[in-house]
Amino acid sequence: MAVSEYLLVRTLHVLAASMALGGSVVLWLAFRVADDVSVTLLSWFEGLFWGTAGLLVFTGLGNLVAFGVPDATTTRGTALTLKLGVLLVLVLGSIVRTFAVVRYERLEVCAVDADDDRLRWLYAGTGWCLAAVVVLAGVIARGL
Amino acid sequence: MLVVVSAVLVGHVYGGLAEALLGTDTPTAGLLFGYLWLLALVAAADLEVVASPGGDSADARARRSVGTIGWTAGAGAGIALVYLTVVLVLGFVASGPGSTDTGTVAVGRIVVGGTVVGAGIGIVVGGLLVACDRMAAAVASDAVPSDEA
Repeated sequence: MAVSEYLLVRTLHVLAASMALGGSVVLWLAFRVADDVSVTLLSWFEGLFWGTAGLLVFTGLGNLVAFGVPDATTTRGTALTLKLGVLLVLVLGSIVRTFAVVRYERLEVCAVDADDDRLRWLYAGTGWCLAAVVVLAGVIARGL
Repeated sequence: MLVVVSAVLVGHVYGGLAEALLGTDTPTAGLLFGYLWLLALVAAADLEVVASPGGDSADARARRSVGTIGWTAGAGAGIALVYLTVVLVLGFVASGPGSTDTGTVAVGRIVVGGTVVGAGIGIVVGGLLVACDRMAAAVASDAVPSDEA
């Protein structure tokens, strides 16, 4: 059975989205249920997140080539516009989140207090943005 | 990534994205994107955006912000110059030796124009990074680290 390069691109796209969404939700939960969260764990996630985000963008473009770019005036096209807008917000918020983790690293802090509301909300925001991206991806692929 | 996503968004809303994407096959697009990503990573490795957590004075912070924006402007111009030169020269080689002379001036214009645009994009990105660093400072300063409390 011949496997197309598009199957590989789709698979990588889904795996990357799963990793980013799952990771951010797990860290959000960690902030809610644990007493403190390891800065080493947060740093690892940040490194993985940016690698994954690069892969997501590239494979997303590959998917657009494979399935076609919808016209911006259609429902699917509007969904794509919204998806790219959410992605921009996600990238900007993630820069703030990563810089905050870098600051903790420079302070040589071992663990962040789970009561750190702002950092917790940044991970929650990451999760919600990625969830919105997944829903919009479904609309782009199959319509409403 | 900010630049790529913004460019794709603008291309989608104002048209031209489909033509740009469909004109490039997947391996070529992978090489182009990977090369741009690599250049950005190499440039970012030398960038010190995040201020020292001990706290700078207002003057030092302003100097650091201006330095960061100047640095990203230079990096943006450098990335655009290297990227466009390599990509367009490689495209030239692939298109055959006969087109080298006739297209040189046009390519030169694109490279120079692209370098200026790259510097402009670098200034915008630098401003965004400085703003993000200020917000990150607010996030980290309000928290009470458990082993420092």
